[in-house]
Amino acid sequence: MKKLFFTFLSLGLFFAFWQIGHIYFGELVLPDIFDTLKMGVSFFTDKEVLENLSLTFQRIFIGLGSVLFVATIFGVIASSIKSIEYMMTPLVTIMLGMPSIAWIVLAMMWFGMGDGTVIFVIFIALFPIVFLGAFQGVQTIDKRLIDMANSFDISLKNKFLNIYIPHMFSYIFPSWLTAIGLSWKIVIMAELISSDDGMGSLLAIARSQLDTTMVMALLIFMVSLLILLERVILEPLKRRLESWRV
Amino acid sequence: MASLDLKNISFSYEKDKKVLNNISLSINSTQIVSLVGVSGSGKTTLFDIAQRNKKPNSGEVINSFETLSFVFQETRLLPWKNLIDNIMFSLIESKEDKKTIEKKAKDMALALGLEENDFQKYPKHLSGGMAQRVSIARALVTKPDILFLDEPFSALDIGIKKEIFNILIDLCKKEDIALFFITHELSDAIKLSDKILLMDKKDSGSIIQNSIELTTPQNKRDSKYVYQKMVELLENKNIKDIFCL
Repeated sequence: MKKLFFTFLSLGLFFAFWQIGHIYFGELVLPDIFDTLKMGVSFFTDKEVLENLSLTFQRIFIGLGSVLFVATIFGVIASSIKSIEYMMTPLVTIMLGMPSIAWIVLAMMWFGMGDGTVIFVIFIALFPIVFLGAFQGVQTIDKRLIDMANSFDISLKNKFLNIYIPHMFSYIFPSWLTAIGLSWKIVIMAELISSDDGMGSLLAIARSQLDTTMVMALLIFMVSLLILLERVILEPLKRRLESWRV
Repeated sequence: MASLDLKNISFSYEKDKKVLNNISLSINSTQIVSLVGVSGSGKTTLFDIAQRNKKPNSGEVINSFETLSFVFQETRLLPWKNLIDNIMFSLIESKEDKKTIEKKAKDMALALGLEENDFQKYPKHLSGGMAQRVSIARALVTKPDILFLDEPFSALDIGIKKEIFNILIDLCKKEDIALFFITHELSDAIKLSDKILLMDKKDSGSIIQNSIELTTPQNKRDSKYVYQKMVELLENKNIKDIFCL
Protein backbone atom coordinates (compact mmCIF):
# COMPACT_ATOMS: atom_id res chain seq x y z
CA MET A 1 0.00 0.00 0.00
CA LYS A 2 2.83 2.34 0.98
CA LYS A 3 4.66 1.43 -2.23
CA LEU A 4 1.56 2.17 -4.31
CA PHE A 5 1.15 5.54 -2.62
CA PHE A 6 4.70 6.60 -3.39
CA THR A 7 4.47 5.29 -6.96
CA PHE A 8 1.43 7.47 -7.57
CA LEU A 9 3.01 10.37 -5.72
CA SER A 10 6.07 10.15 -7.94
CA LEU A 11 3.96 10.00 -11.13
CA GLY A 12 1.76 12.83 -9.87
CA LEU A 13 4.78 15.05 -9.21
CA PHE A 14 6.22 14.19 -12.63
CA PHE A 15 3.02 15.21 -14.41
CA ALA A 16 2.66 18.32 -12.24
CA PHE A 17 6.15 19.53 -13.16
CA TRP A 18 5.40 18.72 -16.78
CA GLN A 19 2.26 20.86 -16.67
CA ILE A 20 4.13 23.70 -14.93
CA GLY A 21 6.75 23.42 -17.68
CA HIS A 22 4.00 23.60 -20.29
CA ILE A 23 2.51 26.74 -18.72
CA TYR A 24 5.92 28.35 -18.37
CA PHE A 25 7.65 27.36 -21.65
CA GLY A 26 4.68 26.91 -23.96
CA GLU A 27 3.25 24.28 -26.32
CA LEU A 28 6.37 23.79 -28.43
CA VAL A 29 8.61 22.69 -25.55
CA LEU A 30 6.10 20.79 -23.45
CA PRO A 31 2.54 20.13 -24.64
CA ASP A 32 -0.50 20.19 -22.40
CA ILE A 33 -0.46 17.05 -20.29
CA PHE A 34 -4.17 16.36 -20.73
CA ASP A 35 -4.07 16.74 -24.53
CA THR A 36 -1.05 14.46 -24.64
CA LEU A 37 -2.58 11.77 -22.47
CA LYS A 38 -5.81 11.94 -24.47
CA MET A 39 -3.91 11.53 -27.72
CA GLY A 40 -1.82 8.70 -26.21
CA VAL A 41 -4.96 6.82 -25.20
CA SER A 42 -6.53 7.40 -28.63
CA PHE A 43 -3.60 5.54 -30.23
CA PHE A 44 -4.93 2.29 -28.83
CA THR A 45 -7.82 2.56 -31.31
CA ASP A 46 -6.13 4.56 -34.09
CA LYS A 47 -5.93 2.41 -37.24
CA GLU A 48 -2.81 4.06 -38.65
CA VAL A 49 -0.92 3.77 -35.37
CA LEU A 50 -1.98 0.16 -34.91
CA GLU A 51 -0.87 -0.73 -38.45
CA ASN A 52 2.54 0.81 -37.79
CA LEU A 53 2.68 -0.90 -34.41
CA SER A 54 1.98 -4.25 -36.01
CA LEU A 55 4.82 -3.63 -38.49
CA THR A 56 7.18 -2.77 -35.63
CA PHE A 57 6.12 -5.90 -33.76
CA GLN A 58 6.76 -8.01 -36.85
CA ARG A 59 10.30 -6.65 -37.07
CA ILE A 60 10.89 -7.25 -33.36
CA PHE A 61 9.50 -10.74 -33.70
CA ILE A 62 11.81 -11.67 -36.58
CA GLY A 63 14.91 -9.91 -35.21
CA LEU A 64 14.45 -11.05 -31.66
CA GLY A 65 13.38 -14.58 -32.57
CA SER A 66 16.43 -15.09 -34.75
CA VAL A 67 18.89 -13.56 -32.27
CA LEU A 68 17.53 -15.60 -29.34
CA PHE A 69 17.82 -18.77 -31.38
CA VAL A 70 21.19 -18.19 -33.06
CA ALA A 71 23.03 -16.48 -30.18
CA THR A 72 21.87 -19.09 -27.66
CA ILE A 73 23.13 -21.92 -29.86
CA PHE A 74 26.44 -20.10 -30.45
CA GLY A 75 26.79 -19.48 -26.70
CA VAL A 76 26.23 -23.14 -25.88
CA ILE A 77 28.67 -24.30 -28.59
CA ALA A 78 31.34 -21.76 -27.60
CA SER A 79 31.21 -22.81 -23.97
CA SER A 80 31.69 -26.45 -24.94
CA ILE A 81 34.37 -26.06 -27.63
CA LYS A 82 37.42 -23.99 -26.69
CA SER A 83 38.45 -23.09 -30.26
CA ILE A 84 34.97 -21.65 -30.95
CA GLU A 85 35.14 -19.72 -27.66
CA TYR A 86 38.48 -18.19 -28.68
CA MET A 87 37.09 -17.27 -32.09
CA MET A 88 33.90 -15.77 -30.70
CA THR A 89 35.49 -13.70 -27.91
CA PRO A 90 36.95 -10.89 -30.08
CA LEU A 91 33.81 -10.74 -32.23
CA VAL A 92 31.55 -10.42 -29.20
CA THR A 93 33.84 -7.78 -27.70
CA ILE A 94 33.59 -5.75 -30.92
CA MET A 95 29.81 -6.15 -30.98
CA LEU A 96 29.55 -5.07 -27.34
CA GLY A 97 31.72 -2.02 -27.96
CA MET A 98 29.85 -0.86 -31.07
CA PRO A 99 27.08 1.66 -30.35
CA SER A 100 23.73 0.61 -31.85
CA ILE A 101 23.59 3.85 -33.82
CA ALA A 102 26.81 2.85 -35.65
CA TRP A 103 25.20 -0.43 -36.69
CA ILE A 104 22.22 1.52 -38.04
CA VAL A 105 24.50 3.65 -40.23
CA LEU A 106 26.28 0.57 -41.58
CA ALA A 107 23.04 -1.38 -42.03
CA MET A 108 21.49 1.51 -44.00
CA MET A 109 24.40 1.34 -46.42
CA TRP A 110 24.18 -2.43 -46.69
CA PHE A 111 20.42 -3.00 -46.71
CA GLY A 112 18.93 0.40 -47.57
CA MET A 113 15.83 1.78 -45.87
CA GLY A 114 13.28 -0.68 -44.44
CA ASP A 115 12.88 -4.06 -42.83
CA GLY A 116 16.37 -5.46 -43.48
CA THR A 117 18.15 -2.65 -41.65
CA VAL A 118 15.85 -2.70 -38.62
CA ILE A 119 15.96 -6.49 -38.23
CA PHE A 120 19.72 -6.57 -38.72
CA VAL A 121 20.28 -3.91 -36.04
CA ILE A 122 18.10 -5.77 -33.53
CA PHE A 123 20.01 -8.96 -34.26
CA ILE A 124 23.51 -7.53 -34.08
CA ALA A 125 22.91 -5.28 -31.07
CA LEU A 126 21.39 -8.06 -28.99
CA PHE A 127 23.66 -10.89 -30.10
CA PRO A 128 26.41 -10.35 -27.45
CA ILE A 129 23.90 -10.12 -24.57
CA VAL A 130 22.15 -13.36 -25.45
CA PHE A 131 25.42 -15.07 -26.39
CA LEU A 132 27.04 -14.26 -23.03
CA GLY A 133 23.95 -15.43 -21.12
CA ALA A 134 24.03 -18.81 -22.83
CA PHE A 135 27.83 -19.05 -22.56
CA GLN A 136 27.82 -18.45 -18.81
CA GLY A 137 24.86 -20.77 -18.41
CA VAL A 138 26.88 -23.73 -19.61
CA GLN A 139 30.15 -22.64 -17.97
CA THR A 140 28.67 -22.44 -14.49
CA ILE A 141 27.06 -25.88 -14.39
CA ASP A 142 27.96 -27.58 -11.12
CA LYS A 143 30.04 -30.61 -12.13
CA ARG A 144 29.08 -32.32 -8.87
CA LEU A 145 25.47 -32.48 -10.07
CA ILE A 146 26.66 -34.22 -13.22
CA ASP A 147 28.70 -36.67 -11.09
CA MET A 148 25.60 -37.29 -9.01
CA ALA A 149 23.57 -38.01 -12.16
CA ASN A 150 26.31 -40.31 -13.43
CA SER A 151 26.24 -42.22 -10.16
CA PHE A 152 22.59 -43.07 -10.88
CA ASP A 153 23.36 -44.00 -14.51
CA ILE A 154 21.21 -41.17 -15.85
CA SER A 155 21.20 -40.99 -19.66
CA LEU A 156 22.60 -38.01 -21.55
CA LYS A 157 19.08 -37.07 -22.68
CA ASN A 158 17.80 -36.94 -19.12
CA LYS A 159 20.89 -35.12 -17.89
CA PHE A 160 20.27 -32.56 -20.60
CA LEU A 161 16.58 -32.17 -19.77
CA ASN A 162 16.91 -32.19 -15.98
CA ILE A 163 20.27 -30.53 -15.31
CA TYR A 164 21.76 -28.71 -18.29
CA ILE A 165 18.62 -27.01 -19.58
CA PRO A 166 17.16 -25.85 -16.21
CA HIS A 167 20.55 -24.55 -15.12
CA MET A 168 21.29 -22.82 -18.41
CA PHE A 169 17.82 -21.38 -18.47
CA SER A 170 18.43 -19.60 -15.17
CA TYR A 171 21.21 -17.67 -16.95
CA ILE A 172 19.70 -17.50 -20.40
CA PHE A 173 16.27 -16.29 -19.34
CA PRO A 174 17.41 -13.04 -17.67
CA SER A 175 19.49 -12.27 -20.76
CA TRP A 176 16.43 -12.95 -22.91
CA LEU A 177 14.39 -10.56 -20.78
CA THR A 178 17.04 -7.86 -21.18
CA ALA A 179 17.08 -8.54 -24.93
CA ILE A 180 13.29 -8.26 -25.19
CA GLY A 181 13.27 -4.93 -23.31
CA LEU A 182 16.17 -3.58 -25.36
CA SER A 183 14.71 -4.75 -28.67
CA TRP A 184 11.81 -2.37 -28.23
CA LYS A 185 14.16 0.57 -27.75
CA ILE A 186 16.45 -0.46 -30.60
CA VAL A 187 13.65 -1.00 -33.09
CA ILE A 188 12.25 2.49 -32.45
CA MET A 189 15.68 4.03 -32.92
CA ALA A 190 16.35 2.03 -36.08
CA GLU A 191 12.95 2.87 -37.56
CA LEU A 192 13.33 6.53 -36.66
CA ILE A 193 16.48 6.78 -38.72
CA SER A 194 16.16 4.16 -41.38
CA SER A 195 12.53 3.39 -42.12
CA ASP A 196 9.49 5.16 -43.49
CA ASP A 197 7.05 3.01 -41.60
CA GLY A 198 6.71 1.57 -38.10
CA MET A 199 6.40 3.35 -34.76
CA GLY A 200 9.84 4.94 -35.05
CA SER A 201 8.93 6.54 -38.33
CA LEU A 202 5.76 8.02 -36.79
CA LEU A 203 8.03 9.64 -34.25
CA ALA A 204 10.27 10.97 -37.03
CA ILE A 205 7.27 12.43 -38.88
CA ALA A 206 5.95 14.10 -35.70
CA ARG A 207 9.40 15.56 -35.05
CA SER A 208 9.71 16.93 -38.58
CA GLN A 209 6.32 18.61 -38.19
CA LEU A 210 7.35 20.00 -34.79
CA ASP A 211 4.27 18.30 -33.34
CA THR A 212 5.46 18.01 -29.72
CA THR A 213 2.10 16.74 -28.51
CA MET A 214 2.27 13.87 -30.98
CA VAL A 215 5.92 13.11 -30.05
CA MET A 216 5.12 13.01 -26.34
CA ALA A 217 1.91 11.05 -26.87
CA LEU A 218 3.82 8.49 -28.96
CA LEU A 219 6.49 8.21 -26.29
CA ILE A 220 3.88 7.69 -23.56
CA PHE A 221 2.16 5.09 -25.76
CA MET A 222 5.43 3.23 -26.40
CA VAL A 223 6.56 3.29 -22.78
CA SER A 224 3.09 2.10 -21.67
CA LEU A 225 3.33 -0.84 -24.06
CA LEU A 226 6.78 -1.75 -22.78
CA ILE A 227 5.61 -1.58 -19.15
CA LEU A 228 2.56 -3.64 -20.06
CA LEU A 229 4.77 -6.26 -21.76
CA GLU A 230 7.10 -6.45 -18.76
CA ARG A 231 4.44 -6.45 -16.05
CA VAL A 232 1.79 -8.59 -17.68
CA ILE A 233 3.85 -11.16 -19.56
CA LEU A 234 7.55 -11.21 -18.77
CA GLU A 235 7.65 -10.77 -15.00
CA PRO A 236 4.87 -13.30 -14.20
CA LEU A 237 6.57 -15.73 -16.59
CA LYS A 238 9.89 -15.17 -14.85
CA ARG A 239 8.32 -15.65 -11.42
CA ARG A 240 6.69 -18.87 -12.55
CA LEU A 241 9.78 -20.31 -14.15
CA GLU A 242 12.11 -19.34 -11.34
CA SER A 243 9.92 -20.08 -8.34
CA TRP A 244 12.66 -22.37 -7.00
CA ARG A 245 15.00 -19.41 -6.55
CA VAL A 246 12.73 -17.32 -4.32
CA MET B 1 26.80 -63.74 -1.77
CA ALA B 2 27.44 -60.40 -3.48
CA SER B 3 30.55 -58.49 -2.54
CA LEU B 4 32.72 -55.53 -3.41
CA ASP B 5 36.40 -56.36 -3.39
CA LEU B 6 39.21 -53.90 -3.81
CA LYS B 7 42.49 -55.67 -4.41
CA ASN B 8 45.91 -54.06 -4.06
CA ILE B 9 44.71 -50.64 -5.13
CA SER B 10 47.34 -47.93 -5.61
CA PHE B 11 46.67 -44.47 -6.93
CA SER B 12 48.55 -41.23 -7.39
CA TYR B 13 47.50 -37.85 -8.78
CA GLU B 14 51.12 -36.87 -9.40
CA LYS B 15 54.04 -39.09 -10.27
CA ASP B 16 55.89 -40.50 -7.25
CA LYS B 17 53.29 -39.13 -4.84
CA LYS B 18 51.02 -41.97 -3.90
CA VAL B 19 47.67 -41.13 -2.39
CA LEU B 20 46.65 -44.76 -1.98
CA ASN B 21 49.17 -47.48 -1.37
CA ASN B 22 48.30 -51.13 -1.96
CA ILE B 23 44.84 -51.09 -0.42
CA SER B 24 42.69 -54.20 -0.17
CA LEU B 25 39.27 -54.44 1.38
CA SER B 26 36.09 -56.40 1.03
CA ILE B 27 32.43 -55.62 1.73
CA ASN B 28 29.86 -58.40 1.73
CA SER B 29 26.15 -58.01 1.25
CA THR B 30 24.23 -56.77 4.31
CA GLN B 31 27.49 -55.65 5.92
CA ILE B 32 28.07 -52.09 7.16
CA VAL B 33 31.69 -51.15 6.75
CA SER B 34 33.18 -47.81 7.76
CA LEU B 35 36.39 -46.34 6.53
CA VAL B 36 37.79 -43.96 9.14
CA GLY B 37 40.70 -41.60 8.68
CA VAL B 38 41.71 -37.98 9.01
CA SER B 39 41.04 -35.48 6.23
CA GLY B 40 43.44 -35.91 3.34
CA SER B 41 44.10 -39.60 4.00
CA GLY B 42 42.66 -40.55 0.60
CA LYS B 43 39.25 -41.77 1.76
CA THR B 44 37.29 -39.99 -0.96
CA THR B 45 39.78 -41.08 -3.62
CA LEU B 46 39.32 -44.68 -2.56
CA PHE B 47 35.58 -44.12 -2.59
CA ASP B 48 35.77 -42.79 -6.15
CA ILE B 49 37.76 -45.83 -7.21
CA ALA B 50 35.25 -48.17 -5.56
CA GLN B 51 32.49 -46.40 -7.51
CA ARG B 52 34.61 -46.64 -10.70
CA ASN B 53 34.72 -42.84 -11.02
CA LYS B 54 38.51 -43.07 -10.98
CA LYS B 55 40.82 -45.73 -12.36
CA PRO B 56 43.53 -47.02 -10.04
CA ASN B 57 47.15 -47.07 -11.23
CA SER B 58 47.31 -50.66 -10.15
CA GLY B 59 45.04 -53.22 -8.54
CA GLU B 60 41.46 -54.13 -9.37
CA VAL B 61 37.89 -53.56 -8.27
CA ILE B 62 35.63 -56.59 -8.37
CA ASN B 63 31.99 -55.80 -7.78
CA SER B 64 29.18 -58.34 -7.82
CA PHE B 65 26.53 -56.03 -6.34
CA GLU B 66 23.88 -55.33 -8.95
CA THR B 67 22.71 -51.88 -7.95
CA LEU B 68 24.86 -49.25 -6.33
CA SER B 69 23.72 -45.97 -4.86
CA PHE B 70 25.46 -42.93 -3.46
CA VAL B 71 25.01 -40.24 -0.84
CA PHE B 72 27.49 -37.42 -1.01
CA GLN B 73 29.00 -35.06 1.52
CA GLU B 74 27.06 -32.17 -0.02
CA THR B 75 23.46 -33.10 -0.76
CA ARG B 76 23.74 -32.41 -4.52
CA LEU B 77 20.02 -31.80 -4.84
CA LEU B 78 18.77 -30.17 -8.01
CA PRO B 79 17.74 -26.66 -6.90
CA TRP B 80 15.01 -26.37 -9.55
CA LYS B 81 13.25 -29.56 -8.50
CA ASN B 82 11.07 -29.89 -5.45
CA LEU B 83 11.66 -32.42 -2.69
CA ILE B 84 9.71 -35.28 -4.29
CA ASP B 85 11.05 -34.64 -7.80
CA ASN B 86 14.58 -34.73 -6.38
CA ILE B 87 13.94 -38.17 -4.90
CA MET B 88 12.30 -39.32 -8.14
CA PHE B 89 15.34 -38.19 -10.13
CA SER B 90 17.31 -41.35 -9.34
CA LEU B 91 14.47 -43.42 -10.86
CA ILE B 92 14.13 -41.31 -13.98
CA GLU B 93 15.48 -44.10 -16.19
CA SER B 94 13.04 -46.60 -14.69
CA LYS B 95 10.52 -48.24 -17.01
CA GLU B 96 7.77 -47.94 -14.38
CA ASP B 97 5.02 -45.36 -14.84
CA LYS B 98 5.32 -41.96 -13.20
CA LYS B 99 2.63 -42.62 -10.61
CA THR B 100 4.39 -45.72 -9.29
CA ILE B 101 7.70 -43.87 -9.13
CA GLU B 102 6.06 -40.96 -7.34
CA LYS B 103 4.49 -43.32 -4.80
CA LYS B 104 7.86 -44.97 -4.17
CA ALA B 105 9.47 -41.56 -3.70
CA LYS B 106 6.76 -40.42 -1.29
CA ASP B 107 6.94 -43.64 0.73
CA MET B 108 10.70 -43.34 0.98
CA ALA B 109 10.44 -39.67 1.99
CA LEU B 110 8.01 -40.58 4.77
CA ALA B 111 10.22 -43.49 5.86
CA LEU B 112 13.07 -41.01 6.28
CA GLY B 113 10.99 -38.78 8.51
CA LEU B 114 10.11 -36.14 5.91
CA GLU B 115 6.63 -34.68 6.09
CA GLU B 116 3.99 -34.47 3.39
CA ASN B 117 3.73 -30.68 3.85
CA ASP B 118 7.31 -30.35 2.69
CA PHE B 119 7.00 -32.42 -0.50
CA GLN B 120 6.54 -29.42 -2.76
CA LYS B 121 9.36 -27.39 -1.20
CA TYR B 122 12.48 -26.56 -3.16
CA PRO B 123 15.94 -27.37 -1.72
CA LYS B 124 16.48 -23.71 -0.90
CA HIS B 125 13.73 -23.94 1.67
CA LEU B 126 14.93 -27.17 3.31
CA SER B 127 17.08 -27.29 6.43
CA GLY B 128 20.44 -29.10 6.27
CA GLY B 129 18.97 -32.17 7.97
CA MET B 130 15.97 -32.29 5.65
CA ALA B 131 18.11 -31.86 2.56
CA GLN B 132 20.37 -34.70 3.64
CA ARG B 133 17.32 -36.92 4.27
CA VAL B 134 16.20 -36.16 0.72
CA SER B 135 19.58 -37.14 -0.68
CA ILE B 136 19.51 -40.39 1.33
CA ALA B 137 15.93 -41.05 0.15
CA ARG B 138 17.05 -40.42 -3.44
CA ALA B 139 19.74 -43.06 -3.02
CA LEU B 140 17.60 -45.62 -1.16
CA VAL B 141 14.57 -45.40 -3.44
CA THR B 142 16.58 -47.19 -6.13
CA LYS B 143 16.64 -50.25 -3.82
CA PRO B 144 20.41 -50.56 -3.96
CA ASP B 145 22.34 -53.66 -2.94
CA ILE B 146 25.08 -51.42 -1.63
CA LEU B 147 24.92 -47.82 -0.50
CA PHE B 148 28.00 -45.59 -0.51
CA LEU B 149 28.03 -42.78 2.03
CA ASP B 150 30.72 -40.13 1.73
CA GLU B 151 30.62 -38.23 5.05
CA PRO B 152 27.03 -37.13 4.52
CA PHE B 153 26.45 -36.40 8.21
CA SER B 154 29.39 -34.10 8.89
CA ALA B 155 27.31 -30.91 8.77
CA LEU B 156 24.37 -32.22 10.82
CA ASP B 157 23.77 -31.64 14.50
CA ILE B 158 23.86 -34.52 16.91
CA GLY B 159 20.08 -35.04 17.33
CA ILE B 160 19.32 -35.13 13.60
CA LYS B 161 22.34 -37.34 13.01
CA LYS B 162 21.12 -39.86 15.60
CA GLU B 163 17.64 -39.94 14.09
CA ILE B 164 18.93 -40.44 10.55
CA PHE B 165 21.34 -43.16 11.74
CA ASN B 166 18.47 -45.10 13.33
CA ILE B 167 16.34 -44.84 10.18
CA LEU B 168 19.27 -45.85 8.01
CA ILE B 169 20.17 -48.86 10.19
CA ASP B 170 16.55 -50.03 10.17
CA LEU B 171 16.20 -49.69 6.42
CA CYS B 172 19.54 -51.31 5.62
CA LYS B 173 18.90 -54.29 7.88
CA LYS B 174 15.31 -54.68 6.68
CA GLU B 175 16.17 -54.41 2.97
CA ASP B 176 19.53 -56.24 3.18
CA ILE B 177 21.53 -53.29 1.95
CA ALA B 178 25.29 -53.27 2.37
CA LEU B 179 26.75 -49.94 3.44
CA PHE B 180 30.16 -48.48 2.73
CA PHE B 181 30.56 -45.43 4.92
CA ILE B 182 33.39 -42.94 4.87
CA THR B 183 33.91 -40.73 7.88
CA HIS B 184 36.46 -38.94 10.01
CA GLU B 185 34.15 -39.20 13.05
CA LEU B 186 35.01 -42.30 14.99
CA SER B 187 31.78 -42.09 17.01
CA ASP B 188 29.66 -42.22 13.81
CA ALA B 189 31.54 -45.31 12.68
CA ILE B 190 31.01 -46.98 16.08
CA LYS B 191 27.28 -46.28 15.94
CA LEU B 192 26.76 -47.61 12.42
CA SER B 193 29.32 -50.24 11.53
CA ASP B 194 29.80 -53.97 11.62
CA LYS B 195 33.41 -53.41 10.71
CA ILE B 196 35.68 -50.36 10.94
CA LEU B 197 38.69 -49.97 8.68
CA LEU B 198 41.34 -47.47 9.63
CA MET B 199 43.04 -45.42 7.00
CA ASP B 200 46.46 -44.05 7.70
CA LYS B 201 47.73 -40.89 6.05
CA LYS B 202 51.39 -41.29 6.99
CA ASP B 203 52.17 -44.22 4.78
CA SER B 204 50.51 -42.50 1.79
CA GLY B 205 46.97 -43.73 2.30
CA SER B 206 47.05 -47.33 3.38
CA ILE B 207 44.59 -49.36 5.38
CA ILE B 208 45.76 -50.74 8.66
CA GLN B 209 45.02 -54.39 8.26
CA ASN B 210 43.57 -55.25 11.65
CA SER B 211 40.05 -54.04 11.16
CA ILE B 212 37.80 -53.50 14.17
CA GLU B 213 34.76 -55.77 14.31
CA LEU B 214 31.74 -54.62 16.31
CA THR B 215 29.34 -57.39 17.28
CA THR B 216 26.73 -55.55 19.36
CA PRO B 217 23.62 -55.02 17.19
CA GLN B 218 23.34 -51.42 16.00
CA ASN B 219 19.95 -50.85 17.59
CA LYS B 220 21.46 -51.68 21.00
CA ARG B 221 24.26 -49.14 20.62
CA ASP B 222 23.14 -46.26 22.78
CA SER B 223 25.19 -43.18 23.63
CA LYS B 224 26.77 -44.98 26.58
CA TYR B 225 27.94 -47.83 24.36
CA VAL B 226 29.34 -45.43 21.77
CA TYR B 227 31.15 -43.44 24.46
CA GLN B 228 32.66 -46.53 26.11
CA LYS B 229 33.75 -47.98 22.78
CA MET B 230 35.23 -44.65 21.85
CA VAL B 231 37.32 -44.55 25.05
CA GLU B 232 38.42 -48.12 24.41
CA LEU B 233 39.37 -47.42 20.81
CA LEU B 234 41.23 -44.25 21.67
CA GLU B 235 43.62 -46.43 23.67
CA ASN B 236 44.34 -48.35 20.47
CA LYS B 237 47.82 -47.53 19.20
CA ASN B 238 46.79 -47.46 15.54
CA ILE B 239 44.01 -45.00 16.23
CA LYS B 240 46.32 -42.83 18.32
CA ASP B 241 48.77 -42.80 15.42
CA ILE B 242 46.13 -42.05 12.81
CA PHE B 243 44.58 -39.16 14.68
CA CYS B 244 48.00 -37.99 15.98
CA LEU B 245 46.89 -38.26 19.63
